[in-house]
Amino acid sequence: MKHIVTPRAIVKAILAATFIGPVPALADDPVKTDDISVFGQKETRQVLTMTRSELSEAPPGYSPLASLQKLPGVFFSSSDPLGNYEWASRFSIRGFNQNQLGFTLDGLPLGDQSYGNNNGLSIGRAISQENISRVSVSEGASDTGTASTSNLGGSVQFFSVDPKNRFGVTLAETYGSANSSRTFLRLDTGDMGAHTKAFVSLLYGRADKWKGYGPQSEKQLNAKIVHFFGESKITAFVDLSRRDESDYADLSLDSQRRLGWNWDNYAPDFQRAVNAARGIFTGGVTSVDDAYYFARGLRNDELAYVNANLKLSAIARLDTTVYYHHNDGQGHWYTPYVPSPSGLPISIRTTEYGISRGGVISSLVAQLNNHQLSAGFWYEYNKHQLARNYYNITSGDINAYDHFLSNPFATAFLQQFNTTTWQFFAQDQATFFNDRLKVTLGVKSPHVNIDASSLVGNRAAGSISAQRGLLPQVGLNYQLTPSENVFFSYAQNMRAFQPGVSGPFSTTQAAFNATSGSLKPETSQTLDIGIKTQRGNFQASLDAYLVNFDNRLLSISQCAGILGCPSTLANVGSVHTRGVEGAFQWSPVQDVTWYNSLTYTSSKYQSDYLDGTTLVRAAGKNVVDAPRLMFATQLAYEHAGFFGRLGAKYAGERYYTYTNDAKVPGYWLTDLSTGYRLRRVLGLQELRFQLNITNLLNENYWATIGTNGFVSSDPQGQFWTLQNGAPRQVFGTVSGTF
Amino acid sequence: MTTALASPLFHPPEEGPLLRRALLAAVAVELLVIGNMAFFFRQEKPQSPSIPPMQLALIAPEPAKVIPPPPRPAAQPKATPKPMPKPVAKPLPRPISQPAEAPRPATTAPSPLPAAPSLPSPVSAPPVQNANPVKSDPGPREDRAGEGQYAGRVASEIEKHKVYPASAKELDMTGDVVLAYTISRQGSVVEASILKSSGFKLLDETALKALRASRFDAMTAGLWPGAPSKTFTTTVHFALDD
Repeated sequence: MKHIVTPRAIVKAILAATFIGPVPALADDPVKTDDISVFGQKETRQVLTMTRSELSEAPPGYSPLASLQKLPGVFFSSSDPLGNYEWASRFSIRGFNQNQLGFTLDGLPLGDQSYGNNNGLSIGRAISQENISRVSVSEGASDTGTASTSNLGGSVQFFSVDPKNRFGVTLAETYGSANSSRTFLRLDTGDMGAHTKAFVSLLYGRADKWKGYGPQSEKQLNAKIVHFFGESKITAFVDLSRRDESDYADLSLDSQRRLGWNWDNYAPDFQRAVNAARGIFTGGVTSVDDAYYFARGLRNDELAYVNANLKLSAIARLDTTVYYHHNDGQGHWYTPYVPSPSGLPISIRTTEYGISRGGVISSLVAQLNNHQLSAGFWYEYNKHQLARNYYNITSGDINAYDHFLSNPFATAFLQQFNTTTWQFFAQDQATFFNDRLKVTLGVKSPHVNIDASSLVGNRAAGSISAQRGLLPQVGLNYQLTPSENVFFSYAQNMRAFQPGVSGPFSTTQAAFNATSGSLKPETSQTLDIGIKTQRGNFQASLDAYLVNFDNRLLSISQCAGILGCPSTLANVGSVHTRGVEGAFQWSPVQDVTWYNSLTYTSSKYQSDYLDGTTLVRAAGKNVVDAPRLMFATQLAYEHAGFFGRLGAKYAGERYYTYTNDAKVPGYWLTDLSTGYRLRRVLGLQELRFQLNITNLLNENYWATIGTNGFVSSDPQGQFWTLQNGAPRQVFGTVSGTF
Repeated sequence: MTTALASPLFHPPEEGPLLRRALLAAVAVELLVIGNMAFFFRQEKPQSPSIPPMQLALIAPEPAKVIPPPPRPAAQPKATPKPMPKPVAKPLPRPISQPAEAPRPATTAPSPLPAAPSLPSPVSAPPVQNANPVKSDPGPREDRAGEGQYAGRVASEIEKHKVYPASAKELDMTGDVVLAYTISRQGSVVEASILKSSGFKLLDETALKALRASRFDAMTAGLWPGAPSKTFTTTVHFALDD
């Protein structure tokens, strides 16, 4: 008699192993059918979303903003390979720089993204890149409920991953060029009972600078716990971040010609720096600003939020988040302009930041027939402290001063700012003709008030407000054919004034008193029209837009940027931006995806302005740091656990003066990623290998411009405000999940 | 930079020779990647889930079932002769053991019990896949291929009604639900339950709803013959874009 292991026996064994709860009476030999997969796509109004799987193909630690580069209208530059170095990383959408966009994490505001943070922090400090579940970009009209008072040109919303359903420990180890290493460890509890699950992750990353001397390192802890009850959920998230970044030198077109692409600050050659401070220059150096001994940025952040997403009834949902953020920051610059009491001609000049802010964001959404109504508010109270101090040094040992310094021998200024933000919004999203037509009408009303006091020095004190009664937004989305969708949107936005080192209070009291009354916040009007198509394995979008930007504020440097004399906030009139952008994605054969995007933007100043007594002829000139033409292409292959991806991005030339008499050329940047994932091997749930190469073709190129700000004119190319991009860097990663 | 747009690759003219080299390198790498892809692609052809080939030996047990209820075969004299010739023709070993009997059923088609003599001894009944006591006639041979296809259609039908509830998406609810359900011969669901919960009542209920909204075909005679209903289990994975 033949004995065959029957399906029945197998099913019974499986059931015995996986079964929870009272035994259901099964008829004999149940037949196991194929599995069914239900895949939920988070529906957002924006088309441009990048998911975890795509973000994970970049080198671990790669800035998610850098990952967005391939999207139309998006420009990113940085002088470090991973895009994390804050002094020289820049992100822009359609010519709007990162100070003019809104950034949120799980709805929580990340604030203005200036280097000198006054009300927020960079995404890299808020959450470990490995814990980001997706990024949504909205260009032009962003949701009226976005918690930001800077989103003139759109917003970028980050979302964190939820803890996994299953218990597991993940350890990932990366090694790469410039002695870079990254260790990421994460513990997922799985369902702990009572519908609650959590994760904790630890991250330590460090690298040498790719040129020059000094480390760039970060330590980070993330923890998240979620609890479900019915169709409601409570979430709590905590982030601790410690960052220490050694700075690269800022170059000028002229200094690069004299000193080369690998020119950097003098460290560890302290003698050379001391000589330069005394006016003794060697080896092609002709100015005390060609390089400094050393500089670094220290940032300590703590961030936490609690969110309750409650189903109030079959038609209403309430989403409320309470958050808190605390930051201490110090930027160190070994300045040759102020001698130390020790007798050395160099001292450490700091800019010291403190942020303590807390807030509430709440929205109520109700579905009434074909209308989705939502309304809510955002409130934030932010205390920001800003100081400039000078500290004594007795040697060139940079490790002796790699911490938060205290007991300065001099203080240039000390200011405190209390900023109160209220923003209300209301929106109706209605669908008609069986969901074919979607109309969105929204309105938001921001009210921001800053009270500043000046305790030391001669920077300004006083109060300034920025508010708008109603900022409207209209959006239309029409399903023209089953495959084609046309959309239109119009939005008005405002950017509130910022406290801090480069806001309206960074000028003298006299200048503030004279201008604050007439200073207007920046406002914009954006018109967007486009068409999207999806036919089988081909999707494409084409978009045309028009932006009128009024009361544009510019901080004009009046001396070498790093010397930090009070900048002057000027209202330079309007900027008009016209552009067209398109992208398509095509799968010619199974497992292969080809993506291309093309952007053409013309962004021009509309008026001349007065700088002191000089008339700056900016009218008709191109906006600084906004490439006119951009192109991105990416070829990806994925099959059975293996993936390979080759991408290239072109950015056209950019100007760094308002009169357009100085520019940097366009460049191509190529990168390669490849990896392999094995499931259930060696006792692990998953084992992954990954290889990433950034700047594959080892291009020398000007990456970030305007690190020290922009000036009206620089015909000889002598203004040190440029940084070149990193050469080819290779990263290898092994990660295992137990 | 007016020449930039004229150049097909929008690259500053002063980097000409370097550009060509860079492009050649880029093209070479792309060809390498494409070559690798083509290699992988050619190598692996997705295997459609195959139904295990019918084992001829399994046909043998049928006559063993047939022996108890004589009246039934009388009611279906027409049906029985059809399948008979086949088993007789194929299994060559059998004629060896019972050579005399094998040809008889073929010639005496109308005889009510032709199957019985053809396969009594040589094959002792291998373990029967379907142990249901047979109330139905011996005639309909169990259609394994059809059963596999029916199970496939059951899963497809439930899949047609799959949905990810907005609340679940909003709250990032994910998980696997194992459904156990019984379908009658007429194709209606007589019983349905959650064998393994996803941990979320909402997802469990959504899976059950999809099942209840499904309309299944009646089972043809060859599918699990003799069984008044059949129980199935299906795993429904709920996942979000991650």
